[in-house]
Amino acid sequence: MSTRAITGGWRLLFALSGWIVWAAAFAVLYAVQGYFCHSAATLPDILGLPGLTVLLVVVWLIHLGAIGVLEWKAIGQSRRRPEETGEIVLARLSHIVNVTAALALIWFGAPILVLPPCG
Amino acid sequence: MKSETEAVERHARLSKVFGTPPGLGQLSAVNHTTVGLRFIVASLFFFVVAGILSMLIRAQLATATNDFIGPDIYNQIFTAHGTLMMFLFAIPLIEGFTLYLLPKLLGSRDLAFPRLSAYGFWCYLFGGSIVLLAVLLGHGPDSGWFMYTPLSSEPYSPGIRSDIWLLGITFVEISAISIGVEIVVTILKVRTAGMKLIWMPLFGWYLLVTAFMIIAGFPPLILGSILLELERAFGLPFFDPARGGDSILWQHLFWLFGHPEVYIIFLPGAALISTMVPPLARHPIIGYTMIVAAIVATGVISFGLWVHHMYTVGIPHLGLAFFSAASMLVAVPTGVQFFAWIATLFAGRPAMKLPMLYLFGFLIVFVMGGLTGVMVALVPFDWQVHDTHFVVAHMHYVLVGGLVFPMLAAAYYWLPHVSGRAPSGKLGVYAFWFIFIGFNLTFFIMHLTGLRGMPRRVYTYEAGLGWDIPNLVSSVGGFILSIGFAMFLMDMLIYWRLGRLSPRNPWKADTLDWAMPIPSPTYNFGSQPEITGPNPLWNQPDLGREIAAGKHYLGEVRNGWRETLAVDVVSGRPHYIILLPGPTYLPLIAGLTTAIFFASFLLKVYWMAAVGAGLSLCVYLAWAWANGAKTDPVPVAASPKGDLLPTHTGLPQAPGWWGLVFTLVADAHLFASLIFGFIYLKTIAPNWPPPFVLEVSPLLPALAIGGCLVGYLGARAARLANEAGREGMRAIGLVVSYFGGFAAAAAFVAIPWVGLEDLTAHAYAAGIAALAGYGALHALVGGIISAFVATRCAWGYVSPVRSLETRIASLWWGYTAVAAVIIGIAMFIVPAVLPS
Repeated sequence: MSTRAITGGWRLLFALSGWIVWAAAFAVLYAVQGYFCHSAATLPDILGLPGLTVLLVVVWLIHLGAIGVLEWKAIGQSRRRPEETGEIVLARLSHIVNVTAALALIWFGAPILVLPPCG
Repeated sequence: MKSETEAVERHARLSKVFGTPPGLGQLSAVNHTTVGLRFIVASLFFFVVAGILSMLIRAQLATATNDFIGPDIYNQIFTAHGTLMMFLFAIPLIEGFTLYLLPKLLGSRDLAFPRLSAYGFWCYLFGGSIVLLAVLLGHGPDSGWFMYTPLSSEPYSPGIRSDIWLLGITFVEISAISIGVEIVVTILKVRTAGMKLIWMPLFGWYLLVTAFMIIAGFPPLILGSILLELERAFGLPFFDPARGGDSILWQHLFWLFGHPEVYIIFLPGAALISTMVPPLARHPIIGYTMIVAAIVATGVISFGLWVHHMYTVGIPHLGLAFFSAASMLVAVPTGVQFFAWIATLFAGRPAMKLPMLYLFGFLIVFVMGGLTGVMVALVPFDWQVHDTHFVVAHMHYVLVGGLVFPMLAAAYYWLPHVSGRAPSGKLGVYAFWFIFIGFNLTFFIMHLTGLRGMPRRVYTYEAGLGWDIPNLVSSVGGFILSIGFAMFLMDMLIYWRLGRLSPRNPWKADTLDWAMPIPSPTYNFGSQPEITGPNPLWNQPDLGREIAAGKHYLGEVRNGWRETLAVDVVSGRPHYIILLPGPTYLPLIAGLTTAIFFASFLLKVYWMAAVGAGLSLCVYLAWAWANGAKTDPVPVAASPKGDLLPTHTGLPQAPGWWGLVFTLVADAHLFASLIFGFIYLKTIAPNWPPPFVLEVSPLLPALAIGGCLVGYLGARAARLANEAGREGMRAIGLVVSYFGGFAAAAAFVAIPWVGLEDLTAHAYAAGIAALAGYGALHALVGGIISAFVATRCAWGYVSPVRSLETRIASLWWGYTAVAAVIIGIAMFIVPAVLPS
């Protein structure tokens, strides 16, 4: 896995980006759900499921995938510069942030699977 | 003996450079110690006033059908109590503690922008004074501290009461945003040598996240306040359903700020706890990395909770489930922090000192508030207790537990640092028990009052509803609580003057704030230490002596400069030397001119408001002009080891660059809130589509957006030309961007002027006007920046090395160009594409 080193302030941003993706997922899911439930716009059913539910699931999975990509990059970063104490701790922070953000996203998005989108 | 003499002489030289003139010269103070203490003292004054108001509330509610206070006064009192406590006590107290402590904990001599924090203080003081004066004169706001529309709208709140809240609090929020930017840049750049991010005291991480939350959380409320004031003053109907507005939009904008606000208050309290626990437990904090991850998680999740205050407004179940899930989720990272503190106490040998007593008070009270928080996170339960005294009880457990108890502990912990004297011990213990018992007596039983159905914000109630005894108990408890606070304040004053002298590091703490003489000198450190690990005073026991002997960085006064180190964000390697500004009246003058703007707007003397805005602009430009140098910085000796570092003046990544980056982050949140509001109204508000649409020649939007793009391209060309040493091209680029800016501003103003007949007829027109106003203001400011930088270039303040100002112009214009394109899409594409 060849990964370019992320340095400076970007290193900090990268370490915390799992939660930034979580925040983006939250905003997008609520915005999509709110918009389609309150406007005249409609989505056709897909495979017997409400189109909005399918759209929300897709949005949810895209963000989960994004956190997965971040974690993959974080593993590359931690293999790249393990010698510095600061880097080891920052890499550990990245992993904790990514894993907890993913778990939080699963928890927060799970109601999409069991509740009607606009009921 | 010789070294002691040298240390004393160095102390005298540094004190002279970092000191503030006496007498009226104190008004020119910008030093973080002075400004921080001013914030603390002013916030305590507002706390006392708000506390007296709460005693009036409890006196009124002590018995049924009480006529001690009528409904009008009662409405003003509970509104003022909430407003003062939240905006004029809690946040400023946090800011005060942070401004005072942060540089000392980070090993630096001051904050990144000392004048900005002084300006923040004056904005806070003047804005708060407007609100307080109105309350004392009987014209205080009376629509509740969250100012829900339509109650706060013109038809139901005529006069200036709501305007006082909207304008006074917005004035104070300028202070909060200023301090937020100050804190972020200081933590990222203004630390001592060797202080890696992951060795930074947890206080730094907590405040970094808190400051980001301020930067992201306050803009929605500022926007909401501006929109509501525009509706009240000029009739633009953002919140009037009859004309396409929606009162629920106010709730969204308010709680987008309001829920993160709870954590903006709690996290600094937790920061103080995390700083005090290791020395009091005599053990390094356990789970540092996990705590950092938990702080970040708490900060982010707190933005996903705002609808948790709006469960009853009619939102689909799935939407409620999102917010309910997030509301329960936030308990997890909070729990991580609690377990880390308990584990540290368990692993160490806790010293049962006075601050520890208050720490235990915090642990108990805040956990109870957190538990009821999980209860109200559950939608069915919340529906039952919404707007009852149960919520009042929950809120006070969270806020008093999360902020007041940690602050009381911190007051006893750090007062030796401020006064040089040790706590008495006894009166502080009595004060604790009065506060602890009084608080629980007041608010624990209030859960029951709420469960029995007593609504909030009613000035009286009938007997026989089961509310009489709980209310009486709460009132008795409230007075016991007040006696406790009075004892605490008395204890502080007594031992400030009469306490025995404290040893230098009375708690044997690990943090750098105790590596200096007490009371702390204005320059903090005789030399800025190079640290080699976390817990510096435990790992480097001789550090205090070495610092005093000038053996580390910047131990000597040079050219009368106030110097402090700037470091690489992550590694803490020294990067350059910041030359800090000395005492100046500019922040005070800027505060006064800003006050002219707000006071004139409040009194509806709009020409005078325009004068105030113009004067403020002149002061800001004078402020910016005072920066910089006409020669390129050369590396100078920074330590006895011979390290050479350049001074920051004009360097491309000087603090000013970082300051603008984070100011634009706040600006972007305000803009995002505006776009959200416009789309929200378009999608959800009743009475859409509007009876008319925007009709303008395509030339106008083309000129508006094109002008901004030209402004950006000109500024960018000027930046690149400057770096290449091509002065002619640099001047041309700046002139082009200047004209682009003014053309764009004029076009943005013309769009609603020409294309809409009546801005007050429908929220659609008001939204277009707000978007155009945002674009015009940014293009205008961009034009002024371009003109300013061009003048600075002509005067020799800019060079290929001193490229900061051309970079700042380019960054501003980049943001403005992107915003202009988005405004164009929102004005012309969104209404056509998105169905209502």
